[in-house]
Amino acid sequence: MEDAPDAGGMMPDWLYGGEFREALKVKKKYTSLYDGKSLEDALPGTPVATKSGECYCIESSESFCLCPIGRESARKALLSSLRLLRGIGPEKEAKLRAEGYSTIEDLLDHPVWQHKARKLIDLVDTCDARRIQEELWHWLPRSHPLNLYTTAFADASRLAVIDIETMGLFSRPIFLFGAAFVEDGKITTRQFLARDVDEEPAAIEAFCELLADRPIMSYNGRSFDVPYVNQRRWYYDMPGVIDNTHFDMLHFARRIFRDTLPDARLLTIEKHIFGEDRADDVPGAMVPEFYESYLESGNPGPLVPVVGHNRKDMITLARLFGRLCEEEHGHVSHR
Amino acid sequence: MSVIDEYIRDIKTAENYEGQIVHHETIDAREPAYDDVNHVLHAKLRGYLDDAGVRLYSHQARAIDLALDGDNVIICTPTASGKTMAFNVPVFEALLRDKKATALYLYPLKALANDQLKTLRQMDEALGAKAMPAAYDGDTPQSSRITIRDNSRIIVSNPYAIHRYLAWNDRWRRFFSGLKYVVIDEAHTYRGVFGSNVAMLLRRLLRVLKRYGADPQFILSSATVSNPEELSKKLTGKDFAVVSRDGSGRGRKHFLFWNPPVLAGQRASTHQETAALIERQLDYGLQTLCFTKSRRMAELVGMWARDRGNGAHRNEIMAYRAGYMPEDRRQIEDDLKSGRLRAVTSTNALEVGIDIGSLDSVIISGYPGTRISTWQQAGRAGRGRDDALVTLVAFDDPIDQFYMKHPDRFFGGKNEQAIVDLRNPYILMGHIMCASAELPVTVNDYAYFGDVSEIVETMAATGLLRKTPRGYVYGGTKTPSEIVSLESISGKSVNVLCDGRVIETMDVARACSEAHEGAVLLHMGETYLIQKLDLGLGIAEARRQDVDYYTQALKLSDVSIKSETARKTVNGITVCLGEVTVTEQYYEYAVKRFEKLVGYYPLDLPPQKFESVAVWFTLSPEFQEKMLAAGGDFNGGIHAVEHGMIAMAPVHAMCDRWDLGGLSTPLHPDTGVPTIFVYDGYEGGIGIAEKCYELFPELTQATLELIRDCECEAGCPACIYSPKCGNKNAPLDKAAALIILTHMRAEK
Repeated sequence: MEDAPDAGGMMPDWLYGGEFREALKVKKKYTSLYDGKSLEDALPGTPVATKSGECYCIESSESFCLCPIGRESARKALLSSLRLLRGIGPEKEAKLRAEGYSTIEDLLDHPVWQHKARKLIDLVDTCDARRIQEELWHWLPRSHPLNLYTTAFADASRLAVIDIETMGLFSRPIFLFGAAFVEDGKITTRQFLARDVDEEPAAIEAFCELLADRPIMSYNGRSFDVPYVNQRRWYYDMPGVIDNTHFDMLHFARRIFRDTLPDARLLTIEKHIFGEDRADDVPGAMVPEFYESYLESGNPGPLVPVVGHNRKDMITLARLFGRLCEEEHGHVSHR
Repeated sequence: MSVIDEYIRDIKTAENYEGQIVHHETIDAREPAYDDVNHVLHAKLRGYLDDAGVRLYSHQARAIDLALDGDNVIICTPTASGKTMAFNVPVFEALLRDKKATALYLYPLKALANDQLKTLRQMDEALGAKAMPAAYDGDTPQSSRITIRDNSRIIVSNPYAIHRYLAWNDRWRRFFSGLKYVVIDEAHTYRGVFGSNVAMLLRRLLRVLKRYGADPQFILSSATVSNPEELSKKLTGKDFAVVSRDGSGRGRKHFLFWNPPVLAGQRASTHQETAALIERQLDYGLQTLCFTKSRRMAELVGMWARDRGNGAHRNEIMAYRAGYMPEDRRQIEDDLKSGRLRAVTSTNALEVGIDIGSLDSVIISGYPGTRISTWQQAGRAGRGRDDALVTLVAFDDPIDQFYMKHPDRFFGGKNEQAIVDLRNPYILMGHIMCASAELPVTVNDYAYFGDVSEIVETMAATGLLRKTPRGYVYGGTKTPSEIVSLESISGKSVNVLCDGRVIETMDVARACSEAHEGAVLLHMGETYLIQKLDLGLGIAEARRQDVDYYTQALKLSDVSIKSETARKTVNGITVCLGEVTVTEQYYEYAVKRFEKLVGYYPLDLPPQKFESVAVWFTLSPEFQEKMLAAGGDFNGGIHAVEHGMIAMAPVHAMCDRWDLGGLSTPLHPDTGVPTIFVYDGYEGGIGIAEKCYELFPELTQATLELIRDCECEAGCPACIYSPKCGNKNAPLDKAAALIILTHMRAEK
């Protein structure tokens, strides 16, 4: 088999089957496409200087429209769930509703629940997304639809959609740090690339400085991206940890698409919900191999589809978020 | 007169007695020595000890005091002398005084960890220390891991698990930051390849801990090895205080060496003699535990014993082995404790840890390979102050026979030295790779691993490590802790698969000898038949099958000297230590059934070339001339000396004769004279040849005694025959070997 990996290849063929072979074709295609070209030609960008040295930043933007949920409607949605109060379960809720209490605000008159109702309303009115989120998680699973409303309390124009690409599943270098922002009808992606492993600390620094205290949105970032970046910061003895307000859409999306999609990967969502077929995609498990291949040969080709994949993932996530918000507005209805 | 005295007297006067008792050692009873700690213990701990009526043995008190003084301590006393208390007291003292303090306990086996956990939990509850002791290893459910990492102050684990978790060290921040003690039980099991790997692992642990500002004290416990200072220092890199004077009491012990008689030129079967002894001991009402060397023999000896005397003891004898269902095993353990069962035949599964109470008698059927292990097994006999009986039944093997003829070497000699090698470049390379994924590797790390700049450079050149301003960072593709096995030397290894599961990992050289096509591989006492060995893929396919034969691969070796690192003269003989390149070719294997040769089968394997460490010595051409002139078989002589020395190496160093290889030649191209080599059978060397160099005079003396005192006329499997000799034990000459050895011992 001509496309079989060499003996040092990390992924056995049977594990990924067709996808694996497809990916190898992609790698081959880009390797020959960019043969003899420089990284700057393949992926136009600018070097970024940090205290930890230099890395490389690739920026691009395209038009994008996002209508986040308004705070008023989020407040209404949250306060209409009596179960957000400690001690109210399904039975008690039904009973209260039968007695005419349909919102938490109604409970302000209730002899027993008024104090807890007051406390919760005060909390919601702080508009502190993080605290509201934490309160919600006391009582509701992280996949619960109400979670979406907590995003209304964060500043959408400051929201950073993030995604990283790594050399393995853990304790391996991260080589690409992506962040995307929606502003003025545009989505802008900024990707910090470690052109060699020794640029990783600089890329970490640039990425973390960019995030600063922005609210972040990710797809499985609570379990993967954020702890991973924190682990690498620790590894390099760099101070600080990412502990931002964080909206992880994975559990949420899984619940929504449970019955309609074969899986909840962004690629699948892109295909079924937005009707797009991503060309030349790199399956996540193959990403390390593409980067290794670039490191070994110096040919920037294999990086091109990886950078594209990272960027596409962030945009799709932002689109998914937009779509979910719209649905909540009632503009579009998901079947 | 006790029952045991009667039993021994009756055996000796019985009609069919053939003089099998070649030695009877009586170990006197000893009163326990108690003492108390000098330090003032935390009131809760003091109260706990007083309420429970705990009287500390002198060695426990000493170890506790040393630990509380801030010393690293290794406790080197026999089984069942109460080592647990000696490390639990200082640990709880620290945990009671400092609410953030934590302790890590490492056990080589999960079964032992579980027993210990029970004790720790009871103590924690009684003391109200809120240490929440928990096991954390591969079996720990994902859901409880965070809770344990974030809350438990005592974590019980094993080296394999720590090897994997170190790369996740940021998740262990709380636990590592507070780490005050690392307790390592059964430290003598960390020797050879495994020990050398664990020594590197502990250095990786200390290196990561430093980052968290922790520098814990160590408390080690070990069976009675003869080099506890060296073992503990090599394992951890720290200096230790040794506690070895055992304060626990014991009854009188009779230790019999039982050598099956030679009848019609052949030694009687060890197994049949064992079965007869079990029957006889049961006749005297002695509850007996019999250790065999394999699971199969545990079953067979048990069966033969049951059938003896028309099945008189049929219902009182059971076999026990690790493969049994847990409830069946527990039943046997309980029946032994209650006394319903009178005899159990077992593999060394019952040697440590598992609580079966104490018995009247232990029979050790075949020397277990080390004196340390023999004493561990013997330690199972003895109830309180009563007399106890231990019988070692010999095989017709060199070491067994050596001790039968030299019991003073067993009882009077020092125990074996546990070997840990810190210089094997392949082991170092594997752990540097793991370390680089835990924290970047810098020159500061030489403090842990020695100057490894050369290794680092080599790995950087291949891209395995990548140089960054913050140090060398791991740059390979696979997770390093998955590539580096603690049980083998990194480099190329072979996984033995059975039903898709890896049952063992071994070096290529070892795979050629033990896992070639057609080989019968003994793993945890079970036999596996090797279907196929693919060196390219690094896989040997095995099938679980009971067979009544075994295999031995034969090899031809060649040794060339790369460099000489040390040289000395012993009685006029030049002995050298150095690096060598070994080429081994396995060309054939023998199939044997009950020690009888069934046939030879060819092997088609490529020659294996590896770097190793060897001890070698030369004989002068004049000596050679003289011997030849006198009609002596010089080549047969040096060949026999080589075999004898390899067979005797385990008397001094904790190893197996299979760990060593040898070569004897009347003319070696690198020395130009007759030379005998003994080399480590592991890539990069594992320290055995080095020990042989150190103990060369003792080794020569033991070899001389082995060959001289063997009853055979012209050499036999109990002295100069080697089961793996590529030249099929030819030429071999016992008389010439004795002349050479005498010459080597003579003062000149």
